[in-house]
Amino acid sequence: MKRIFNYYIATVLLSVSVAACNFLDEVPESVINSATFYKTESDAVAATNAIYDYLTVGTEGIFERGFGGVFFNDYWVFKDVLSDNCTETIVSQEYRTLNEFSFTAENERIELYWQDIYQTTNAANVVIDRVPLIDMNVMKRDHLVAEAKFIRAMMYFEAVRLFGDVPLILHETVDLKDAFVARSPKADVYQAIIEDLEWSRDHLSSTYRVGLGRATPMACTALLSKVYLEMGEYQLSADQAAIVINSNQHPLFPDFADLFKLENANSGEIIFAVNYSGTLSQGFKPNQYHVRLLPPNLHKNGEGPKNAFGWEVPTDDLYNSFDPLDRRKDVTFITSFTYSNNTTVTFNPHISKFWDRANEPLGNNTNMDVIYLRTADIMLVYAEALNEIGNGPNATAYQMINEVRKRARFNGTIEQPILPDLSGLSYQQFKDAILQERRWELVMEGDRYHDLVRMGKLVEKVTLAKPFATPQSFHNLLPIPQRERNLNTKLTQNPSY
Amino acid sequence: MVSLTRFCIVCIVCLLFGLNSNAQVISISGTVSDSKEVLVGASVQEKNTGRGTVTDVNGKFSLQVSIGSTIRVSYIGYVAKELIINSDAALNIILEEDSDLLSEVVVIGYGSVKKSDITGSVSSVKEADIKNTAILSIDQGLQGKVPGMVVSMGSGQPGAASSVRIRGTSSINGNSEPLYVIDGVFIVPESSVGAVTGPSLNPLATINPSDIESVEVLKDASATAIYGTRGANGVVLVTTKRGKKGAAEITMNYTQSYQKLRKKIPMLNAAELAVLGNEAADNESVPRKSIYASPVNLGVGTDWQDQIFEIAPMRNFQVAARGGSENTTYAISANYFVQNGIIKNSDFVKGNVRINLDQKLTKKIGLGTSININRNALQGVVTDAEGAIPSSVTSWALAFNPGLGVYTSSGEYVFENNTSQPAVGNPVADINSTEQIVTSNRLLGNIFLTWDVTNDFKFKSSIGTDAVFSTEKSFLPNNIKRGQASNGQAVIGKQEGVNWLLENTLSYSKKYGVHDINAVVGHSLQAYDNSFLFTATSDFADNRLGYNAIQVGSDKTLIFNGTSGWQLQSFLGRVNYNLLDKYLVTVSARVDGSSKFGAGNKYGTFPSFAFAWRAKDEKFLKNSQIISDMKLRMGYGMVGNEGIPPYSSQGLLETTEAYFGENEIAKGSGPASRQNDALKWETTSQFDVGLDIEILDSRLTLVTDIYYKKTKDLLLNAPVPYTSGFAYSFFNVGSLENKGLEIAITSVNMDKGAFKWTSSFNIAFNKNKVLVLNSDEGIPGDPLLGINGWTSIRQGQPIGTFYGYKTNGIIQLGENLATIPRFSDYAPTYGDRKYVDKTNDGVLNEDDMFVLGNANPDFSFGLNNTLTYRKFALSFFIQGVYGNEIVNFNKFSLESFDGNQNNSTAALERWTPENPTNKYPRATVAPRVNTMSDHQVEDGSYLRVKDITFSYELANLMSKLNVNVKSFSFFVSGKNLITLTNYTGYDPEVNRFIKNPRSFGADYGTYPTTKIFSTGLNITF
Repeated sequence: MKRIFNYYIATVLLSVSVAACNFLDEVPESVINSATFYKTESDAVAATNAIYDYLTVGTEGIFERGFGGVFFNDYWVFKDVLSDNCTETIVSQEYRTLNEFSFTAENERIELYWQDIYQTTNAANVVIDRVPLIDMNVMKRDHLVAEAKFIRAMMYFEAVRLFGDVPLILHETVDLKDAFVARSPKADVYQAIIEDLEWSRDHLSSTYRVGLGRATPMACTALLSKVYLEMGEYQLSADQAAIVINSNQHPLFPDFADLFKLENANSGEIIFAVNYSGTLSQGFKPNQYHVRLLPPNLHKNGEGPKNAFGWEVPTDDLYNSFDPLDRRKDVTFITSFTYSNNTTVTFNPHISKFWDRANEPLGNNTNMDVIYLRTADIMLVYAEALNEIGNGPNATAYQMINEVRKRARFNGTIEQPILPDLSGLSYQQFKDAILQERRWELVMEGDRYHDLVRMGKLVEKVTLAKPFATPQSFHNLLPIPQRERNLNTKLTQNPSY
Repeated sequence: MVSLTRFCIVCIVCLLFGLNSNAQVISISGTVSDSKEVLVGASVQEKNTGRGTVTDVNGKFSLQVSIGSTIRVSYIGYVAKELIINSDAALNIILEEDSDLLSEVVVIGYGSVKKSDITGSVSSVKEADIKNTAILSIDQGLQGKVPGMVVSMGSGQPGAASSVRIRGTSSINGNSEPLYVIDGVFIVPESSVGAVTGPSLNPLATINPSDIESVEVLKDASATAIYGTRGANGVVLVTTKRGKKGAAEITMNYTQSYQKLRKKIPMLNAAELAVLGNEAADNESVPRKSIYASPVNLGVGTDWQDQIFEIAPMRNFQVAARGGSENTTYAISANYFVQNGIIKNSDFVKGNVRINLDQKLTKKIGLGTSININRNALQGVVTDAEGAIPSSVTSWALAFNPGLGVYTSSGEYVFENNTSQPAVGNPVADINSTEQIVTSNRLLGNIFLTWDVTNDFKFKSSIGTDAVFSTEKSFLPNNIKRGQASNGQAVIGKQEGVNWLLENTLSYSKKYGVHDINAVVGHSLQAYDNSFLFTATSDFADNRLGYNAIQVGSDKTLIFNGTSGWQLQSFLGRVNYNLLDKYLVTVSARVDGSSKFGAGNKYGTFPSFAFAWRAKDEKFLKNSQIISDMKLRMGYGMVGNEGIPPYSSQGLLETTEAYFGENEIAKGSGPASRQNDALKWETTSQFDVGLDIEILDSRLTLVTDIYYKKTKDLLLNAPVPYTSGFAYSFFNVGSLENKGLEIAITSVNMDKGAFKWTSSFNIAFNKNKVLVLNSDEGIPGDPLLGINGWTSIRQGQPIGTFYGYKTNGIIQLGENLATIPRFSDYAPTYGDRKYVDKTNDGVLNEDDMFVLGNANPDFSFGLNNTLTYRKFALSFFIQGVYGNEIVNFNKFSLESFDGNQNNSTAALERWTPENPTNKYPRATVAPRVNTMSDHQVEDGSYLRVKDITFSYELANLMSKLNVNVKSFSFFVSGKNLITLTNYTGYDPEVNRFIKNPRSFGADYGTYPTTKIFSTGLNITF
């Protein structure tokens, strides 16, 4: 007994001394620790790939309030709800106040969008800071950094257009103090965007990780033209747009309907699209085009869109502004649905342009990408810039807008006798025509709010289309989220919020 | 090794005191017993020498002593006896039980002491105090019994966890609950984790209250410092019953109870709602809702509260046996408990088996075990689910249109409410169609070995574990509202959490003349490992198989697993020194090392010091007829808190997934948390002064304590600017203080013949204040109903402070609307609420917010009275809190006055031109968004008769019937029968965010607590 006991004591003492050595080491086994990462080429690729998740869906759980990334819904919902294009049917406080232009700095959607923008930026900053230190093929390394810089430029372009001066953070947050910074002037933010896009354009390889939702040099150029237009640098904008158009790398689809066919994804006119995949993903990870926009209650007996809510619906003002024969009206909206037994239900217009009915008859989870840059947009940017430069349209400006109109006349078989080529317009008339054309062309594509603000028409147009809304000139900028101001007292608020 | 140790000790003792080898030595022997049986292990010591022994299993001893010397015979719980030895005649020594209340033995960490020797602030609750009440778990039994311990039942969901605060909230991270140590096994907070979406289980519900011998609550730092990093929120030591030598004693108990909703919220009937809805539409000149077309024809309609609530039964059966032979004692019990919830289709079932065994292997070596095996099954209903849409069947039942029935004319469930979009679902359909089940199997126990190395040195080694295996299964069918978006969704979650603990302690106990020393040193290793797997699928074509075949769901919504763990290594020591039974000193220290902190910050040292002076033996009190005992205590110590998740100091990456085209899945690793090497222990230092007085031969005892505690380096997963790329990050954010006063009085009011009346009363005051916070604007709580910052932790204010606007009546006709202060998003009109414009600028914004109250009670109290007369016993227990506020979020929907949901009868008092009230606003379909104001902040004080129990002992009667029982008692009891409160919600004992110390004091759609009526039978053979 005693001997056994002595052994026991010895064991106890041994356990104590052994334990003292490494018992308290903390090694997470189901997550990767950043201290051991960013060492190899595959680490560099994984870090870069991560940015696209924040861009699209984000890593918050489906049950959490922050579910969804930048392009999941907010990017395209905000721009048309905060405009004359759409009415919001969700009555919850945050959406109702956006719809009515009575939102405050407390608005949760704005706060979450701000969060998504900066979370994506931080993931890009990690790549930009850490990947250059990895020992790997220089061309590939630069390419990955260029992808990150392109996305960072996208994020700051969103931020600066929506919020004006914003904290400009260009490095990974290592010391938390670096996140408690004041707002940088718009000019500095634009400068950073331009530097990122130029660097990216010059370092994106043409053979490594090509397309399919990843940046290309032409995407950088196209985005630069939009950035310069927003800055009022019309000549620079026109120069960049000219490169895109003249390259003919992304020719217009002959039929407007082709834009939203799944087989045309990432091709033709589409210069850059944020990629989603209903096929590859599980768990509500595609964007919410069908869920939010398609008409509700149509799904019966295995037909019609499932899980559709029709949360954002077009205003009468938008719907009625189209010529009835405009191809874009037919593609953009749905007003009736016919079942296979030939019963038809009709309803108020809903936005259906992103619904490739042939391929995804039940809607819901979709392969549709969120188109961020396409040629028709850049052509209208080019036309707008030329009109500003010359204080009136020149021949090229007319050519740009008329090509867009010409396509709208094409109904798939013939050209309709509508939307005649424009000519003989004054500076202001042409500018108005551009705004109108962009409205018809780019419904729910993330542009309308910016177009109205840029052209100084927000209050006028919204009041016309949504009499219940109370837009004012200060709504040209969104409020800095109150949460951020509570935490970081250096942040000032935009006027009147 | 043993003999070597003994030799050393003998040498040391010899050196210290010298060997008195000249006196004549004789051999004495004898027996030690109490009035009933022999005492095993009683100590027999020759005074002022090292000679001594303990009695064997027959109570016998033999010892060599000098003639004329004094021997001292002692046994814990008995009055020690001293005898002068003049001959070697056999001694028959009878010790008397120490009936003095202050001499009870009290369990403290790593040992026990006589109550009279306690230097810290320790409250003890014995079996008798929690007997005969229908309680599910000990935390419920402790409510109101311990001064300074506030137990709040967050929810009436069967099996749900409660929140316990000892001496206020001293931490703001996830862990402000005390440490529970059950028979020496540390319960880790993680064991309360239920499941991903389900309610969390109460870790204490797995212990059968009838198995409990005593519960000690260690409150001040001098008592808790021995628990180091886990002592900051107080320590609750639970000791279960162990076997006793002798014939088997069998107890059986059966309790049958009924639970009932305490009160219903008075709601509008169908006709009244229609009138309101029409008025709301008319006031904005919009078309009336067609559903409200003819109010008079709608009548009363459906009472949705009656549809979801019911009177629910609860049954508890338990049987226990205790006994033992010479060397083996046992205590074995089994328990089966079934509780139906007052919301239909919610229930909780648990089965429990406990085996406590003690075996003497040799004279000096003992082996023992305490094993508790438990299985719980909880069927929940959705009452306070977090997430994007707050879901709660209680909220839905209140909001639902009484004009709708539960079923359509064709007998199907009415799908959803028809008063607004988006509509809430039919709560009855939700309750009956959804399944949400959490089951857990748990093994809690230890094996320990004791070795009396010498008479003075005792070694104890213990290996314990707390292993919890839980499964969550839930299913939302596609034919109810909540299942619409997902088209049916099933979740299966599995979790295994295993906590093990190895502790080795060496204790020393010795009396040298007037010096009495007790000391303990020890080493402890503890580790916790958790692994989990969650899967969810949705899009179900067929509901029938539910969660039993989740592959039916065509969308693989979630596949998620992981593992985590932590380790803790500790060195501990304590010395109790007693001089002349007058001066008591305790010094203790624990060095804790935790894996959760960065390399430089892993270890922390937590010392304490306490001093007590027993004044009774001083000259000025010795002859006092009034004061029979008096003790003054003083203590100071530091304790820590490491209650943060593992890996919090590390920069972690998360797995990401994106898609390039339709053929390439792009897996990645993105930043999930920020590395913070500077993260360190949270430390609480506490100073305590106490006075214990006994008056008139213990007829009245008084225990008072005042304390000051300061916590610095508060650990918090605090919100950080999103510009950092993160929403939250762990840091040491600041400091806070709690100070308070506790008084406990016990009195024997009457003790005449067959009649006895005893009372105990306790009251505790606590004030909490945040001293320093490294965040200028405070740390907001969780948003609810779109309201951010309704509570916020701010410097200079207590935790749990509510912020909002002050109402200022209603705008009456004739007032100048232009001068009414307004929010930028709303133009007020006649009949709208007015708010105080603090800044006098005509604009209402966050600068006009006031402190509206806070969730901390000024004081909490309990009063227990027990009256016994012959075989009858009546006890009633009153308990309450005073001075806290509750934010009644239900009011936002109950008083919406918009016709979009049903309202409480407050709507009948709404403002109209004919009823120019200043209490409630007008009806309108377009009110301003939810505005947090003093209208929603209500007084949460309450006083309730927590328990009345009447029992009758029938043993005599039974023996006349030739049924031989030791005890046969019958009882009836009622819980929460009478409640005095001004709170208008279901119940003032409410806490929606029970898991979040940054957001307490909210009531929204919670499962209400109940009134309980019980009858039961206790039989002892």
